[in-house]
Amino acid sequence: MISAAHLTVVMWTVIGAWALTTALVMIEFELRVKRNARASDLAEQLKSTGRGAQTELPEMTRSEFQALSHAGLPARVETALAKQVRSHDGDNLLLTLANGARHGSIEDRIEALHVVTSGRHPEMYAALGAALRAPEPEVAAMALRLLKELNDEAAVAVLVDALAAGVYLPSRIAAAVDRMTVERASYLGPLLQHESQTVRFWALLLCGRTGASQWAADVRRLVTDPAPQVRRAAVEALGRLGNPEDHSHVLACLADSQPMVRVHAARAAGSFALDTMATGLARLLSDREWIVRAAARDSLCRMGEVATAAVTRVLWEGDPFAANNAAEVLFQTGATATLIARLLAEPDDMELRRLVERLMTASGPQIARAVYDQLEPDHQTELERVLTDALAVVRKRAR
Amino acid sequence: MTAILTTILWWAYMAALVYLLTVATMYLLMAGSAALEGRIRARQSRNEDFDTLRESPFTIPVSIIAPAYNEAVCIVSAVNSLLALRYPEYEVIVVNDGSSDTTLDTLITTYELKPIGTFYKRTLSATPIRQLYRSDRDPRLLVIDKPNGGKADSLNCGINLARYRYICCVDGDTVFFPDALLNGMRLAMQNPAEVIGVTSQVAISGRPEHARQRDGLVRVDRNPLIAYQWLDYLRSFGTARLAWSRGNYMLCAIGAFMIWRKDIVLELGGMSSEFTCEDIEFTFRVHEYFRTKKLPYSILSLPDIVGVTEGPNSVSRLISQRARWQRVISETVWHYRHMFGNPRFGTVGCLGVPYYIVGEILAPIFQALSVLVIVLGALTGLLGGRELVQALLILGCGSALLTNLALLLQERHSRTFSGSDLVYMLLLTPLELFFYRPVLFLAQFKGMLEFMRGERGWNKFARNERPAV
Repeated sequence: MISAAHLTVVMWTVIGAWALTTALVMIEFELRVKRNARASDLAEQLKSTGRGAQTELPEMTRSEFQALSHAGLPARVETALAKQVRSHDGDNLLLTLANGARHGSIEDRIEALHVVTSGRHPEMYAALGAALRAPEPEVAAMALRLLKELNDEAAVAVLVDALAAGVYLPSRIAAAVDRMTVERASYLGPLLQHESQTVRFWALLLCGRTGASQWAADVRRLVTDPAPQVRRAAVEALGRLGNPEDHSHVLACLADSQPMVRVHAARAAGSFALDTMATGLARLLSDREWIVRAAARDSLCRMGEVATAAVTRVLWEGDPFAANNAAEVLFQTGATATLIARLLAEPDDMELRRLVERLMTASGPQIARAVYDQLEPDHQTELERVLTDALAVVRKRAR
Repeated sequence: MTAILTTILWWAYMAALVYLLTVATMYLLMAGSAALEGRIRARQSRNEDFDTLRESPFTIPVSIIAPAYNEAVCIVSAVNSLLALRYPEYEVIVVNDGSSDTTLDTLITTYELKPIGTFYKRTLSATPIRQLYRSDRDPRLLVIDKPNGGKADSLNCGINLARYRYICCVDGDTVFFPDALLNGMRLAMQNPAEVIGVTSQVAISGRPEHARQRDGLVRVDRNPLIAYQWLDYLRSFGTARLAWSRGNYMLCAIGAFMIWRKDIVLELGGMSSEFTCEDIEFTFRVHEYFRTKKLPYSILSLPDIVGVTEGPNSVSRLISQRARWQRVISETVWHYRHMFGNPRFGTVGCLGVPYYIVGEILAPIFQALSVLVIVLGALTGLLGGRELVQALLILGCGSALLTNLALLLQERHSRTFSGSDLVYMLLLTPLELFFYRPVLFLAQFKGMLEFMRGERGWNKFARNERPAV
């Protein structure tokens, strides 16, 4: 079919290629093992080095420094090593690379950024700010990570500036700011005035997270912002700040036209254990959006006993969804168990019996079964006797 | 007579050769593309601040949905691994799909489940729920008990109750690594407007709970049948999916781990019960929708291994499982045949569907032809002993070469194997043609016949007993 010589050539070519890939797999493995071993050996050695570490540091390249840093080094040793790499490579070259000069690869830029930052070069903040604006997500991610690790106010300023400029991913920048421990709240004020609703949104979330009560007036103002996502973040921030005088703003948001604002208002309302708030939340149990109903239900559950009176009133409403949600709240807060225990103790209390009957029929088969299963067998029999009609309705519905 | 036979054999030989070269070229091109994609993803992963992401309150919450049908022996390990994921906010919805074993009882006892009642919107059509349970031990765990309706039906049922904007569909028999979800969602969070789906790769083992070692390496099962399956996974997940990801023609987001934006799933009507498996069909439906509407989108694959699943440990079970896979591919490609070569569907129509047809659907036919040519050639003396050995060596080493490339890519992206495991895998590769490929060939052939007969069964293989993590 084809000549034997051709077949032989093909065979040896394929065998050669196979042998080559086998060797490459093993070489790749060996190189990695050696790299990792060297990095961890050096890291161990450097960790145990005393204060005079600078004089004993080994020579290394930028990529070796990067690998060592990933392996974990004490901050002091990392700085000393980075300074040594800086003096070896030269600050000009490093800054050119870090600032994204065209001749450097992405890896070069990342390594240079790392060295410049760890070596505490005075221009590192400018380089990191520029790197956050880089089109390559890896470079921006590295800059963000380094800024977060710097954890100083100058780094916060760079991050807040990037957030205002809308570069990279706002959620990642906000997460980095959130993780820092240095003073951040004072930098957030200008962002609350920003024309971009995305910037205002992230600033509000950070205000809430950092407890920036100095900006409470701005946060209150933004509760009526035209952008729904800003109103949603503002009410969330108010809930986190938890100033009692803000409860009226949260209460107003419970009636917002946008479901997402009502959801976050409902969650924020859970922080204010007040009757008025419970009444407002109970009203949301009949909201047309399930997510709002669910948020209101969760917050009422969190409020506990304070919510019982407001939620009990909902049981008598015509809306079966609202009544069922109310029954679930009462079940979750333990009010149902208390009411049943009281009824079993005072079976002739007709008002209480009507209430528990209503509660059981509103509960629906699944909650009713859960309530019933939690009782002792003799209490179950007693409940059957007292609530014959209500339980029959529940069973019929279950069928 | 001899002349006619020689002519027939020559043409059959040429057809098999052309097919082989086409497939080899496709795989080599995909390996190149996968190397590029893997390099980019690995670099992104290296520089990512996972510590911040893990703790970030701004990370997008996810609903994980794990359908379970008769998974009593492994459900606790799987759910434990899901509850141990390092991710800021997520819920785990286990859907007991009418199991006839003790899956539900095991869950109730282990996680102290309590019945709850809740109203939910049946946005997607699904079998009605019998009972909902919430765990007292971990409130993130919700268990749905429903009559048997199949995996797609269970997923739809779970999606109806999912609270979050992203859903992650997983298998109830897979043990996940702690950063699985974070790795997947990292890509989605980079561009939530366009990245609508993320998938990844899973490893395979006889004892998934014990596969991951303390140093992060994954132990290779010494049972050659399972090790061969992993090599197969490395080729199809490690190489093929990365290449598909690069060209944005992901052909199958695997059912064991697929993250989707929930609004897309709802828009497309959820998973379809009309097909044997839901994953490939849904991925194709997503492509069809976005390409028809000319909307920007991408479905990405990670180079990372996110978990370990249990593979069939006997030949008959393996054949049964792989026959199902072959049937599913055939069903889906047949259903979406209008995409074939259609420039309107871009890389999916012009690269993806042709790849499935050539590399998967036609494979059993050409493999049978190759075997026939070799046997007839040897019997009629047209193929001498020396040529026969040479042909087998070419095929064996050629196949091993492609597997080695997949291993090389895996090692370059992330360190996965210990030295001894790597040597073991490398020793297995040249023998794959003789010990593993024939099994796959039989499975694919069986799958083709089942497809033509219109079978839809799942053919679930029996699990091994295994202790909880």
